[in-house]
Order: sequence, then C-alpha cells, then structure tokens
Amino acid sequence: MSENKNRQDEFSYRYPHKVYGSLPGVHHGKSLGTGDSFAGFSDLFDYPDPRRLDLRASIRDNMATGNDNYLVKRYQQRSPITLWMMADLSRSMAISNVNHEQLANLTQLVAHSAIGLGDRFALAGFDSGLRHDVYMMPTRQRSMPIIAADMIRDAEVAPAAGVDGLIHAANMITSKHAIVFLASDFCCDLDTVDKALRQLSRYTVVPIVWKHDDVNHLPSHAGWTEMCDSETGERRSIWMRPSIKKRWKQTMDDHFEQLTNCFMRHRVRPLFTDGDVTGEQLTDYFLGRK
Amino acid sequence: MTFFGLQWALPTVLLLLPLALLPWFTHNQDKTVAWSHFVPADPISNVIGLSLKILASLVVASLIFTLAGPHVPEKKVERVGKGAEVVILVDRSRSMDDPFSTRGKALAVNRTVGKGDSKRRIAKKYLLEFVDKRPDNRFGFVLFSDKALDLLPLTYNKKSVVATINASALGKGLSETNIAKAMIKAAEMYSKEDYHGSRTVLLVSDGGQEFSEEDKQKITELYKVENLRLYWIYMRSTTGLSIEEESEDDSWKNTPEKKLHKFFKELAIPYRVFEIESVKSFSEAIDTIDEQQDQTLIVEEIVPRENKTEPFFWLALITMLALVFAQFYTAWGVRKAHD
Repeated sequence: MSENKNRQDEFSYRYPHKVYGSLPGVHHGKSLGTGDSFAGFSDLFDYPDPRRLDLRASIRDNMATGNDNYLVKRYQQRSPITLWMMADLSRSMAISNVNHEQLANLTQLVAHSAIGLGDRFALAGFDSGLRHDVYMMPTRQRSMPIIAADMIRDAEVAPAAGVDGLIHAANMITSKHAIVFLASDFCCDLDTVDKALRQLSRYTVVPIVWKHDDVNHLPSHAGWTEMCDSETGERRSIWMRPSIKKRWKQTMDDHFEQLTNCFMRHRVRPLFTDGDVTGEQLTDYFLGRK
Repeated sequence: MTFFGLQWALPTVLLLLPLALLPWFTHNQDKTVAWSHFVPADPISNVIGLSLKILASLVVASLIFTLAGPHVPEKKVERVGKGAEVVILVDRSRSMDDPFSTRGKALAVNRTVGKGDSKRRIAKKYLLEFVDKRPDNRFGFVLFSDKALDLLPLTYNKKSVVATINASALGKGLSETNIAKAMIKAAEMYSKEDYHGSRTVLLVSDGGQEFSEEDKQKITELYKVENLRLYWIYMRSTTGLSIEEESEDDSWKNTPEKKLHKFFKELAIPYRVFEIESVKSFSEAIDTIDEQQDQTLIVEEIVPRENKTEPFFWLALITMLALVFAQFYTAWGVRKAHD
C-alpha cells in the first residue's frame, strides 16, 4: 500500500437495485439502450438498428407467426446513481479520535470513488441545522472530491448543539437513485435517527458509525469526575465508583444496541469504525452485502 | 477589629474571603464527554460534589482566617476569690543562714550556707507551700537586710512569686537587719494599690530590732491607714525564752525581739506572732495563717493574648487531607480510564 500513498484510495460498490435513467453509467439500469444485459427483441422497423439484428431469432419468429419481420435485440442501458455524503459536523464529531479530518478523508474517498466510476457525488453537511457552507449539489466534476474534503476541513464549529439538521439534510436528497453515506457518531436521540432513516427509506443508506474512544465516553473510573458535554457544554459531575461505572456502561451499551436495532428495522447494516475509513473497509462492506 | 467575637490582627486580609468562592467557579478538571446523556443520574454524587466544593471553600476560608491573625486580646478578668493580699517580708540577714533550731541542737555550730536546713531554706519551703495553697492570693515580696528590696510588687502571677521565693533562698545573707524599713516598704506597696480585700504583712525573721521613734510613728500611721494585718513568724535560733513570756530577767526583757513584739502589740491593728521552734511549728503557723486569711477577695486576673489560629489551621489541614485523598483517588481513576 505504501507505494500508493499519493494515490487516492478507492472502493468499489454496487447499487443493489436497477436504475432508471437516460444517462449512461455503470449500474444496472432499467431503461433500454446500449448495454450488456439483454432486454428482449423489437421490430427492426421500430428500432432501426441493423447492428443488433438477430437473424436467428427473426427466422424462428417468422416461422412461428407467419409474419415477415426482422427482430433486433434490445439491451438495458447501464445508468449512474448519486452518492450522497451526509456529514455530521456537530460538536461531538470534533473531539479527540473522531474529528473532521477523518470525516474529510472519508468524503474525499467517497467522492473520488463515485466520480471515478461515473456516478455523481453530493454532499450535505448538518449539525443543529443544515450546513449551507458544507453543501454540494450532485456533481461529477473531477476536482470536486478535494473541494468537498476541504469544505469539511475548513468547516466552522457548529453554532448550536444537536443533530436536528439530519432531517433537513435528508430532505435535501432528491436524487432518484442514491447511496447515502450517513457519517455520524450517532450520539444523539434515536428518534431523530429513526425519522431520518424513514425519510431515506427509498435510498440505500450506509450508516458509518464513528465510535468514540472509551475515554471520551468514560473519562474516569474512580473519584470525582467533572464533565462537560461535547455538544451542549452542559456540566455534569459525578463521583465515579464501580456501581456508577456499571450503570454508565449499561446505558452506553443499551444506546448502541438500540441503534443497531433501529438500523435493522430499516434493513440497514451499519459500518462501525473508530478511526479512518479505508477503501478496503468499504469494499468489504459492499461485497459482504451481496 | 472584632468579628465573630475575635480580634483580627490583619482585618484587611479578610477582604480576600470572596476567594473562598473560587472552587465554585473553576472547571479545570473538566473532561469532555461525547454525550453526557450516558452519565447516570446520581443523587449521592450531587451530595458529594456539593460537599467537596464546600470543603474546598472551607480550606480557602480558614487559611484566609488564619492569615488575618485571629486572637483574643489580653484582658483583665475580675472574679471573686478567697484569700488575702499578702506581702511577705523575709529577713535576709546572715543569721538566717544558721541552722534552724530544733530541740536538742541548741546552738548553731557551723553556718550551713547551701545546706538544706538553714532557716532561710525552711522558710522558703513553707512559704512556697503557703503560696501554693492559696491560688487566689496576691503576693508581694520584700527582702530586707539593712535595706528593703521590694523584689516583687503585688501580683497574681504565681510563677513569679514562686521564682522570687526560690531566688530569695540563694546565696549568703547580709550583715544588717532593718525591719522598720521593710515594714514601711510593705505598707507603701499597699498604699499604691486599690483596696481589694484583706491585706496582710507576713514578716519572717529570726530577730528583732528596736525602731526609732520616727519609724514607729510612721509605721503606726501607715499600718492603720492601709488597714493592714500583721503576722510575725519569729524563727527562734536558740531555745530561749518565748516572746510572750514575762521574765524578770532584764537581759531578756530588753532584747530587741521583746521590744519589737511589744511595739507590734501596741499597733492598733490585728497582729499575731508565731514563734517557730521547729519545722512542725512553722508549718502549723503557716496553716493557722492560711485558715485566718480566708476572706472574700476580688481577684483581678490578666488573661494573656491568645492566638486563635490553631483551630483554623487544624480545620484547613483536616479538610485538605480529605480533599487530597479525593484528588488522589480521582487521579487514579483517570489513569485507569486511560490505560
């Protein structure tokens, strides 16, 4: 891998459904046109393309029906999709091991892979609201991956706490066919996640769950612990002791279990990560999905 | 300045007291957690947190209080005690260095300076006992030979009285004796003071002396005016005749002791003589005086300035220890979390 250091990492993916669209792309499409998957015969008169003329099929058809037609083969055209990156820019995404740099790298990876494959890439950043400064309409310009990554790197700190923007960002996704990468730490109310997933139900959603280090969840194991919430800045203080630690861990585990359940309900498989997301990881994810 | 019933040496330091609120504002221990929703609600923690903050405030406050130097100033306390004011007149003449007479040992053969049984030593021993028994008494001390030295003005300070009596028994005696001067001195000591209660002059000597007319007149006058009471502890060195005894023998009649006794009796004040022949009689005499001098007396005591910093220091120390323990426990916990 070392010799490829300067090369942008990539991953390969498949869109599981058939795409309808007039533009050519790589994903299985529904529209008829130039492609490699056979979609039936048609009369040469209707589709005057002698290159696709199938004499054998024509003769058999004429013998069967007594007509005098020439049949041409029709194919399903491959079509592009859009890869949406929904980037959580809330404050909790900017502490220690989970930071904007990793998010930017992921964005660049997704954008590069999408545009490289002829798909379009779009970006929607959110925190407490939709981030208009971190937003990109679907595009296939080759320069966009770096621009998108820089957008996230240079993004300012979230003005307010919360991830309510998730709903707005989900509303922004208007493409007919899209894979939506939802990158967040999911340390938020599950109702919001559930609502967003419901909105995104027509798309293939790939939740990328960034796990915080244990220290960021459980800063101390004993004694007086003063904490401030990364989002709200709300101060909590607690005298840590084994029983509290147990309860704390229980709450945490419950949350992530419920989160997984929530994804399962929406037939979505999350990708858990605690650092940089590599192309290999994503490739494995998509392959595992097959 | 007085706050909380205490005097403060540096009351301006108390202006720093708002610093005690600092623990309520500092958040230097803050750790950022991804989502505080995971933190369980725990009322015990709230109580502990509150008490930790209070303790920290307490440390700061008590250290500031210490800096401000709290003390109870020196003050005079008047209380009603029992006893008397006593001026002790001790003869410092050389004859006091003689061994104390006991029956069978008639005469002093050798001078026993520095030995335990000289008259001065005996007198010292019993005077100490006397002083010891009477905590509320006010003592003065006059040592006399040819001059009267008012070593100690009337005082309640037991230690200095004891020390003076001890010191009076040191060294050798001087040659002359001048009782009149000493008695005038004693009366003068009283005349400087307000009248608190029973006033006593305790004369300890082993001999008498004839006073001049002038002295006699002065003593008569002074002792009457000052309302004094006189005890004479007469330490006989020989097994001679008693002072009281009337004798035809002219030589005895004309002895200075006899004349002095006569003069004392003529003074219009309460007077008693104790003729001491033995250690036992000395202690009896002292006991008798002790019993007689049990009148109500207004006692004035000086309570010295008392520093009150110590309780604050202790408070700060103990509180700090608790906080340090909490801190160490916390540090250990944080370290464990990072492992």
